[in-house]
Amino acid sequence: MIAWLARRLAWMALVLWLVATATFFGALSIGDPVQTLAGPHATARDRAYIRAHYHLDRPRTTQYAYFLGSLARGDLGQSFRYHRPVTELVGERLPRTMLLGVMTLAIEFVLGVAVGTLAAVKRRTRVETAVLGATFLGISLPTFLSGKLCLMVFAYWFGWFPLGGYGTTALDHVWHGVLPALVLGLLGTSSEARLVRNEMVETLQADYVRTARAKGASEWQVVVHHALRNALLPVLTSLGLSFGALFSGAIITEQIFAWPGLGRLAYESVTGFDVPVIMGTVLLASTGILAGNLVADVGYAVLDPRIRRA
Amino acid sequence: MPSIRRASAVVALALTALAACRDPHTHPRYEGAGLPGPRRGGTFRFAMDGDVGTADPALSADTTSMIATRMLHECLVDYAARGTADVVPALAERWEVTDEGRTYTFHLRPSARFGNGRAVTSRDFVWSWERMLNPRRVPSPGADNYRLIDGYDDLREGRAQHLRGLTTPDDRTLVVRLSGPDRTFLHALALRFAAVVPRESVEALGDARYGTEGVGAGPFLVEHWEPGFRITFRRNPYYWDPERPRVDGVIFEVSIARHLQFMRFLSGELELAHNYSLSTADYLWIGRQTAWRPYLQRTPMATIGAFMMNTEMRPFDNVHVRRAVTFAIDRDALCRARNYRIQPAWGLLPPSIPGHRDALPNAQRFDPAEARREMALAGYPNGYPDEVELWIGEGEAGLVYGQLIQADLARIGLRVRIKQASGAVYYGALGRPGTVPMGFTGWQMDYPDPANFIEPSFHSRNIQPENSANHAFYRNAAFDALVDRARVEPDRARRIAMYQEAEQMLLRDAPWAFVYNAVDLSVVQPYVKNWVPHPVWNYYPGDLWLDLPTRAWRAARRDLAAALGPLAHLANPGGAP
Repeated sequence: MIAWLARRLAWMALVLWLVATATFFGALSIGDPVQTLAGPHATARDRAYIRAHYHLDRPRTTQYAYFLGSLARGDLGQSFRYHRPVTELVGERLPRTMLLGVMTLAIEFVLGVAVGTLAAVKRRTRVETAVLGATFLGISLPTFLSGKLCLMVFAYWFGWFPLGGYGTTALDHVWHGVLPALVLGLLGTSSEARLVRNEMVETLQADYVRTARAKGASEWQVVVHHALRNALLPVLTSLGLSFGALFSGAIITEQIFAWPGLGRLAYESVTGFDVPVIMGTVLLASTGILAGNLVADVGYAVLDPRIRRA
Repeated sequence: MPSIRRASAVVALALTALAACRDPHTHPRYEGAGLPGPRRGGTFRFAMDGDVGTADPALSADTTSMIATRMLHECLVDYAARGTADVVPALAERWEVTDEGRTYTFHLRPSARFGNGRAVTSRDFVWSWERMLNPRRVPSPGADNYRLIDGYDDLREGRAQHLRGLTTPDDRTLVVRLSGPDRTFLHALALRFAAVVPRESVEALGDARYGTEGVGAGPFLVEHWEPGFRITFRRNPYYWDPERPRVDGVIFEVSIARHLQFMRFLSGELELAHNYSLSTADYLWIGRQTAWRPYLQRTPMATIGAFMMNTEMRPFDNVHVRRAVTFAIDRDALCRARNYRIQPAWGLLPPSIPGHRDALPNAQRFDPAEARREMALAGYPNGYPDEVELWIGEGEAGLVYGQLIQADLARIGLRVRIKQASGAVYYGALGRPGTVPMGFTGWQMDYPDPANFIEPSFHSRNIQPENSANHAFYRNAAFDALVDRARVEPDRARRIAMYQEAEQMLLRDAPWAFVYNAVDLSVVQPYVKNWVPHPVWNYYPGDLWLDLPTRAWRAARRDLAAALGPLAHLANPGGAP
């Protein structure tokens, strides 16, 4: 198990290095950040000063070596736009995106399991048709559309939710996060619901469920205690995998709801060509996805010895 | 099948119910209290879609950061809030220009203080400017505006620690000696790069933190900076002007998407919706609402939108082809396509900039017959045989303009292929010789003087192997000489006349086809009084006052309606206030 884990961690480090390298050379080959920093009518000499200040006058390979060296020390450099360390900027935004992520996962889990179980229990009824129809819609609707629609209807027209933003107190943050989390979790909820329904349909036909019914267990006990418990394993794995992917969804959702998280920072760094922040957010997202995969794999390996041996 | 029909009926019913819900915000939520005259108090709230990178005046250069910087920092001089933006006293109560425009002597106000209560001295200006101009200290993008201060080069190159052109005979007098006369120097001093900063605050916080936590001598102080979403300002009790600002505080929400800004404005959560808040659909919608219309303002901006033609590349190395292009563009059609968020321009200098003339001689105009005649003079009576690249930067508006003029130029036999590129690539290419034959470009002023429109884009000094600001690579020795003379001309009327003559040269040589001036749109809540967009500073709440809202009975009824949600809208489908 330890050798397996070491191998996985080494692969992770390799993938991160590849991502860092590709982003570094990719971002700097798109254009000249000094163009953005110096403004449209700076003189050649002023550009040279700005280039030297940010060490952009060194050969690309030297810059790359500096970058890797700093990265190894956990230093992501200084933002061109904010003139502050990237780690500080990311540190401010990360908890906000994490809050949104945790709320989204909670919504995905609770709603997904409830709706999926309902569809399985009410199989071949209108309830199942409605659930399948609604989840189909949930999977198909792009976030930029569902987000704006929800904002328009539930916040602007009906005034049930705040019109975007982040609020001031901890409770306020949660309250402001409900609508964006619902939108961000729409896709996940729909796919979880479908997964749970499929698992439950199979599990409810298993012999041990029939035995439980034969022993006189109530329908609630049969569904929740016997069937659901076994059907949940793949759901947990799927949630673990979707955690990293939440970041990419957050870029659009945070934009629509003015949620001041990492997604928003990533978006602004790309539009403002703030290369150190682009690097920082890309690396963080990659780490999140890799960590999510690792947790899911470790979970599987712990639960299923066949994987450990493979 | 019946279940499908029933489901469809339910969906249809739901959609009808949704459609029946009228927009609840066709009327302002709050009215003014009807109080007489300007009064103090209240909080002014507005938002932008970008974020404030830093409010350090030495570094702040983008639109959103400049808004915050203007609120926090003060210079020796400023711009009048209305009209053609003349330079007026700020921290300096008066000044003298001597030595044929080479020496400026400023006298500071006795009431000039920083937000921490300490008096502003002339030595503070020296320290602030040396900090801003020292590239080893902060990489200021505005340094070049001050290149004429004596000793500038030595400080920049590290040969000196101090600017020898600055002297301080006493705490309230600052003498600035220039290496040559420059009639735009006062404008440079009104730019926030030249704002005064308190040394103790910068040194205590460090350069990075000073940008978000430091005090200045401006009308407001930062009360709370919540990174990425909100900056709360409160009035600086030590501000030199006892009358202004009239509001007690400002809440500046940042990184708020445009659609959200407009919704929040209509819901009464913001006092101002501006050019960056109003999509074209929103602007058209609010213009149709009779209750909102009185609060909507259209103000021409000091910007110029244009298509540049590279005078070193074929076919635009031929002046007749360039002139043909200027006659071929139907500017009214462009304005219609943009729903009049722009207005047609026939020359370089926009309205509100000294030197602008409504009746401009030799103005560029839409005249297809003249365009074809110029093409014939160029030797292409049947059209230019090759396809020409037309470069467009990011954004939808540029593409709309590009497609429209593509059709206009096809009519005179000039086939263009549109090439759209990201901002970073686009501006890099525009400034490189022999790369972009034709491109969508323009100018947004740094300061309201004709020199700022004419020199950066057309003087041959600004042609460089990389990053040329003269994108058309226009070279005209007579033009350069005229513009150089105008910069030092002491007589204002003669100086303006020289710039008008330079504009005539540009109309004749046509390195740019001037197309439009942008129009600033803004709408305020009924209780915001004396709102006039500042000619230089975006959304600066210096002069406005708040006739603080009273919740009229109809606003209360609308609150109840909002609480009841869809039921209330169905019960009151007309949405009458």
